Order: sequence, then structure tokens, then C-alpha cells
Amino acid sequence: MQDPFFSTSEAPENVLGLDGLEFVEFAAPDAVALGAHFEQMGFSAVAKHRSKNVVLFRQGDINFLINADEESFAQTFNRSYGPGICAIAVRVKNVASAYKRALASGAWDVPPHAGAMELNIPAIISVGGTHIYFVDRYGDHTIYDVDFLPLPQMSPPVKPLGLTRVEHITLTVCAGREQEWIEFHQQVFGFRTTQTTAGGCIWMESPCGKIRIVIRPEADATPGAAASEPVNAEGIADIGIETDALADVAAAFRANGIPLARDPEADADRPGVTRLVTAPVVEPFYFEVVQRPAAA
Amino acid sequence: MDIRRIGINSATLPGTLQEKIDAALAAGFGAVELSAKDLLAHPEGATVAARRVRESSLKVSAFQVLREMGSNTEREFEYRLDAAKSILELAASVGCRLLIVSSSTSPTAVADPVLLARNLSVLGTLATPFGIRIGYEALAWGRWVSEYTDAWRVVELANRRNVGLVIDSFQILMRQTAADTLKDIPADRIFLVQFSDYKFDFISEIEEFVEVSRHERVFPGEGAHGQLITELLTQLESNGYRGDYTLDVFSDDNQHSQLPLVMARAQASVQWLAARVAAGNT
Repeated sequence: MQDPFFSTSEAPENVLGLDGLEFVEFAAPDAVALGAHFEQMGFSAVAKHRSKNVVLFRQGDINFLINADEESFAQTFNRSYGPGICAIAVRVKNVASAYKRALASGAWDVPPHAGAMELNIPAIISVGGTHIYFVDRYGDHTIYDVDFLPLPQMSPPVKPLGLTRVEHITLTVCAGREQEWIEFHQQVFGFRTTQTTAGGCIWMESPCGKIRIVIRPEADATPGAAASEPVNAEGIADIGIETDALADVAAAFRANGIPLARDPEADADRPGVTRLVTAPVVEPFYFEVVQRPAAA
Repeated sequence: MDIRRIGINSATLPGTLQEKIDAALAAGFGAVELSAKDLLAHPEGATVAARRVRESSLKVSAFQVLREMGSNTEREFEYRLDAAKSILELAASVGCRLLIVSSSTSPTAVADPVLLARNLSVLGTLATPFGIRIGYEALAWGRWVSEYTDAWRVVELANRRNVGLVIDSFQILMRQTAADTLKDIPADRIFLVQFSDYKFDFISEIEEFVEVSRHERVFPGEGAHGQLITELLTQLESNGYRGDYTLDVFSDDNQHSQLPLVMARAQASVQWLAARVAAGNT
């Protein structure tokens, strides 16, 4: 008989050695406008890629990349599906073994195209043709040490607004496809479902406990209709960012001219969580900012 | 029953891909089942072939065929993964949402249902970004999985939303599997039902299964097992199956006949099937 204390359904094995989120990559036709918006939100441009038109913005433990490189996947994505979040990178203990394991479980590999002297960051294909990169250089030695040059600080420097980390990533999927994407994340990453909301959204958490995704079915994207290929209709909808002081963030956003689609309010689906939602300043990007209850 | 649910396998018909598409449309079919060869052997190449199919407005109800992923070594598994990716891309290129995976007939086939289920699950993951489903089909001459009841056991073990069963009347007739076990399988776990018959009462040798299957099938209504096909059809419908059917009639006689003659027999077979359902409902 199985020992209940070792039941794998409660604590899935971290087969890939996941250890949180490294960066979120944005494909935007107007990189300058999006960069200015990030600065409104308290992010600083800290580094630029050595050979490509890619800029790293940072606040707290959040790394946002704006990729405007013509030859890049981001701009191919932009041309195919329109502007959006085209990739995320996850931290893993060991890229080579994690990547091999992910491919053996049925993930599609992305053909590499690093330039000379640049890191080759392997990636797999996820919802709506987005990519998930695997990174094992984080902490003291990062991927940015190799591929990026530091940018001088702005004068005056951008004031951080207390955004600390990426709290969740929302994936839009065709209605009826949510179970397939749940199983995809289970099989490849060992994510487990933590909650299904009244509205039909599914919350999943990585086995390392540091990455949350929300799978949100969209009624108007029906699989099977010839005009509506899932890869065109699905994708990363938005990013939820964590803060310890939501009221301060709301005040600072307003002061910086960021319109709010929803003022700070209780999250109907998650007791104790409060949140705000910005209105898009650079279409189609909007952000959720959440404050979780203080740990007991 | 809406007869538009009954499609036709291109391999049932003689002629070029374009001739088959035109004939299927003219005969009132809404869907076809294609095989990789239909695209790859097209004189203008697979990309042009796929465009012709998409422009035809015919739905591609299923794509043939990947052999089971069963493997004894890591190298073999990686090789099979590449084959799977290649055929999934072809299926996606014609907007097809179902890839048929047939049970292995190899003498080295894997016997472990847990491993077979795990392999189907990998295929389910591989097919997810395209929105393609995996339909597992037991071939009557499969090494270990040779009846739909075996295939269902593996599909149940895989426990994936986009991994289900393909039922082929021909395989059931060969093995004389009881059709009433079908009622234990939820209708939505059956992704496709293929129909064909043959003219002999009974075949005993496995070698003959293969020969008859590839060269001597006939349309439903033309063969020796009309009663069993009728039972199968009414059983599926009464269980709530509302998915696609296809006429899968691999036959040398069809390949050596004029396309209009074969198509006329296909149309007669559709009417025969529809009449069986209508009779069952009265």
C-alpha cells in the first residue's frame, strides 16, 4: 500500500529542477514607447544586449526584456500574432538535463540561433507559439553578464515603486482546451492545479512553488474553426506583479499618469489577495499588481 | 443521423489528390481522411498540396498514420519522436485535428501497457500546441494490442484529454471482438469510427488479416457482415457517439476502377449506413 506521506499527488516531483522565473520577454513594435511605460511603472533600463536590439528593464526580482531586434523570434512573433508577451524564461538547476527531460516528455524544441560569443539559451514551444527558455545562470553569475552590457544610470534615476516579483502569468487558451494545457504543464514541468475559480480559470503552481500560471479559457476562440487556429488565438495574456504595498503602487501609478482599469479591490477568486489592473498605455499590454496576505 | 458526419478516406479512391477532392465535394462529402503520402507524393510538393486541401473547404477528419511509439531504447524513442513531429506538422498543415496512431505489429513491440500509455501521453503533449488529438487504433494483427478493448486499456492508463480511441469495424470483424463492450467506453473518448467490411465469412490466419485489410476490403453494405456493422453503428449512436465516421476501404479493385464508379458505391454505402441508423430508431 502506498504511504500517504509520500503520495506524489500532494507534492509533485520537481523533475526539471525548476527554481522560479528569470525573465519575461515582450515583443513590441515600438520599443521606445514600451520602455517609457516600464519607467512609468518604476522599472530601470539596466543593460543592453551586446549585438541585438534588446534592453533589460529591472525592478526588484523582475526582469523584463524588450526585444525589438528585427531578426529575433520576438519580432517574428510580432509579425505573426501581433505585439504581445512572446516568451518567459524559467530558472532550472541544470539546463542540459532539464531540457533533455522536457523534450523526452513531448515538448517541441526551438531551433537555436545565438550569435558569436553569445549564450545559446534553449527553449521549448508553449501556448500560442510563445517560448519558454531554460536558464541555469542566475544569482551571482547571470546570463546578462555574458550577453549584455550595463547601461549608465538615468539622471535622475528612476524611482522603484515597490514591485517585487512576478506573481503569476495568465495564459489565454481556446475554450475547451484548458484540460489539454493543464496536462501539458503537468507532464512537462510537474505543475499542479491549486484552484479552479467560479469563472473557470485554473490556477497552477510549479513544483518549486515560485511560478504560478493561470489558464483562462476564452469563449470566442473555438478550436476547429478553419479561421481560428489555436496557435493564433492562444497566448500569454498578462503578467501579475507582486507588491507589499498596493495602495502606494496605485498612488504612484496615478501620479505617473498610468490609468487604472480597476482600482485596488479584493480579488474575488483569492481570499486575502488585493489587486489593481492597469489600462493599456502601450497596446495591448496591461498589468495586474497584487498584494498577497502577509505570511502568518 | 446527419450523413455529413460520414467522410471518406482518400486511400479508398483511385486518382490524384485533386481528383479525389473534387469527386468527394461533388458527391456531397464534407470530410476526408488523408495520409501523409497524399501530401508528400503530390507533384507540386506538400506545401501546395496542403494549400489545395485547405482551399477545398473539405474538413480533414483524420490523418494517417503514425505507428505506436513503443520502444526499447532511448535512441529508438528519439527517432520515433522525430517521426511523430514530422507527421504532426503535416496534419497541422491541412488543419486536421486528429492523428491516428496504430498499435505496433513489430516482433519487438513493447508489451508493457504502462509504457505504451506513457508514450501516448508524450504524443498528447507533442500534439497540444497544434490542438491536435491522438487517436489510438488497435490493428487486428498488432503484436500485443490487437483489439479495441486492449487499446482502450492503454488509453485509460494514459488518462489524457487529447488521447482517445479510434474504432475500425474491419479490425473488430477480423478479431470477432464483442461490440457490446463498446457501451463501457464513454462516447467522448472515441475520436473516430472507421467503417469497411470484407466478403468472407471468417478469416483465421493473421497473415491473411493483413492481406485482406490492405487489398480486399469492401464498402459497408457490400460485405458479409452487414448485420454486425449495423449493430456496431447503432450501439455507438445509442451510447451518444456524435463524432466522425469515415469509409476506410483499402481495395485493389477500387484502385483499378474508374473514380466515378467507386464514388457511386461510396455514396450508396453512406445511404446504407444512414438507413441502418434510421431503422434502429424506429
